[in-house]
Amino acid sequence: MKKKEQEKLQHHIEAHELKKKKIPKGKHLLEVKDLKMYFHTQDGIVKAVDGVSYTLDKDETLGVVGESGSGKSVTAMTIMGLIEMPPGQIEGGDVLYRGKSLLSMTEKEMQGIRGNNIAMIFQDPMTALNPVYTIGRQLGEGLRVHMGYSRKQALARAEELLGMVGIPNAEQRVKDYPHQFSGGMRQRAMIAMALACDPDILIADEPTTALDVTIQAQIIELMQEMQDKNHNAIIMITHDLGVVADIADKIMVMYAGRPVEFGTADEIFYNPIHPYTWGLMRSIPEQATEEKKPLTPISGNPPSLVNVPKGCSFSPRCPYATARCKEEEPPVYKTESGHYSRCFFSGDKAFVEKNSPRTTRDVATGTRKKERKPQAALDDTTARAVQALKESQAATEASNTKQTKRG
Amino acid sequence: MGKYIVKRLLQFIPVFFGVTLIMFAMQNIVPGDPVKLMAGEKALDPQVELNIRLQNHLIEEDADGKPLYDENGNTIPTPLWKQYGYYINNLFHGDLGNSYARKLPVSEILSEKYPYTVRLALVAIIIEAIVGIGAGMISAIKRYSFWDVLVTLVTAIMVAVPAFWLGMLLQLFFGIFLKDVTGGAFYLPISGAGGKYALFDNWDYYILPAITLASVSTAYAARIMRSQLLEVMNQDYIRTAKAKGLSRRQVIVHHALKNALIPVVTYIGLDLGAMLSGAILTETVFNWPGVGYEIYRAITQRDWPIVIGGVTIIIVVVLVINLVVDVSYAFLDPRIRFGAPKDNK
Repeated sequence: MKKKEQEKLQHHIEAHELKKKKIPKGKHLLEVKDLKMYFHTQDGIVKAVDGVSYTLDKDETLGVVGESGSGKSVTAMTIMGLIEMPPGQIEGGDVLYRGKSLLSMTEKEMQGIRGNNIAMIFQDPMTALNPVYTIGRQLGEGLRVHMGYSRKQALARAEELLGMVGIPNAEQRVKDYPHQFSGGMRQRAMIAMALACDPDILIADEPTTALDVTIQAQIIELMQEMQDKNHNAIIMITHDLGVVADIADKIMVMYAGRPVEFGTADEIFYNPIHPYTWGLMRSIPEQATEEKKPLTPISGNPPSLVNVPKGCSFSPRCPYATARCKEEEPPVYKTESGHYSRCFFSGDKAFVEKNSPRTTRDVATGTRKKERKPQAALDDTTARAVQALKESQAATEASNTKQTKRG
Repeated sequence: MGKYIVKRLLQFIPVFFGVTLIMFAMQNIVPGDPVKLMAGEKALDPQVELNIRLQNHLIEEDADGKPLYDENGNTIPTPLWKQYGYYINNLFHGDLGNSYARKLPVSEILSEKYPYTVRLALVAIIIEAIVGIGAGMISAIKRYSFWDVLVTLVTAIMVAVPAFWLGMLLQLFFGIFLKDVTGGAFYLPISGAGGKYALFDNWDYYILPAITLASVSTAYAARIMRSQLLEVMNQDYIRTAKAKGLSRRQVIVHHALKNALIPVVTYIGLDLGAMLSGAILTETVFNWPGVGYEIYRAITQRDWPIVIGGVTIIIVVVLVINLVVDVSYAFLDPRIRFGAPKDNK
């Protein structure tokens, strides 16, 4: 009996040990190497992820930006091992977590990793919670699976977690069902759920897309706050450059299943070198301009991933595309700092200078990031500001809840 | 919740009166004098006929129970609305009238028949729940496998085969072809076995009628279960559960099943209501002494009190079962239990 139980928990124990282990020298917390995930469908092979590489360390935040269907989510789901195979198939590459390949793990081993070492939160908090169970039960589920908590222990911890993510009256709220929560509170609960087992990596798949603009900022703030406490890495998937501007250390811009530009947040925002990134930046609405300017969207639609255009996949929509772009695939242009881009002209200083957009948001984003980075140096004013912000958040949430109840 | 139940109970009132009114009107619209039907083949003595009419409130009477006559010396027929009033009044006193053919109170006949129908319905519903939900689950979990194809195929056939024909085939197979094994027991008509309220002494008797009765609904239940489970498995919260590190088994048992079961339980619950209202075809094929067979017999003999009384009882049973099903929703789905608020994101 004892032995059987031991066997049952073996994969969880291994996952815990892996989490405690030191990262081998020369390795990163998470290393994605030339990952390729194809889907074999009736219409042909969909190259959803086609050669994605990046590394991620503790305390770091990676922003993954791109249009719908650019393979952002599939990359994340592949790391989590949540892609149904078939139709999905890994065609190449590897994902190393603390130097261990996730792709070669068995389903059982992955179950130990999921939620314990790598956790994920999803886009729509309205549908991501099971409507028939209480928030407390769903929050505690991961703890019961991975940590072997009893029902009672799990509920007590769930209460703590809810309080931690800023939900007032947590001891009452754990007994609530998801439909009794407002959207922002549900996403807070999702974050609490993801962080329950203190994961190394938190993957957030468009966590703010389905939320009210005022709530979006709060949720991002919360994720940062939690990162400061837990020192986990974050992979923030979004189509909103504004979101990653606030939070990301590194940014990967994806197009048609491939990263087209990768660099630090500063590099991407102040010195973007790929025309697609420029297009994305021009599509951000400016909030405080004196006159009304029309937005400059990227014309056309993302390509079908079954028939990716010949040459550079962005060439049909690129305003600077030449005949060469439509024939040859551009090589990776890499600077010394590791900033890279897939464009023939990325190395052409004059071209980049002439065509890249002048970032008007740089002041706001720049100051905000610097404020956060040196964590120890949170001076009194900032602390007070954060406190005030939290209070106002709580007030908004509370009034939201009231409205919900009344409705 | 209490408020809701009271509201639903109040809704019974118009339904109840509407149905009894329709049934009452039907009885009066169909041709044939009820007194003649009561008498059967015999000619009636005029005084006896007068008394029967008086007893059944078909003619007006004075305070002493003597018939009233008009100026021509004829009896005055009671107006229909007054007859309906008497009928409802009797109904509330538990008096459903007397059977024309059997000369017994309808309530007595029905109370003798109903237990058989209830037991048959319970056995059938147990078969439906176990086989339907089980088959649906297997076919959803092992989608596109041999078992899935088998379930899909068999349920299609089950839906297509009419219950009475399936009953006959089963009788033929078990009663005739397998006579040596079963001793022809499945074929034997089992009506009237035992006395009033007596159980069939052997549960074997229930198997074939219950399979026949449950066949079509089992197929539907399996199909609903399959499509529901497949749909639920695509929901975001299932992905969340997987992302938490739950095994496939845990995901299905803890997260998918409860959600998928909500519509299936409703279907099976409503089906129980339908079965309790007497399976006329199945009961007739198997000579089952339940209300369905009794109503069938009464219709062929124009024994209206039994038809009306039976249908009235059935209406009440169906209404109550529907209410129970709706209330049971609340236990499965907290969104109903607590009242869903208007979505404010």
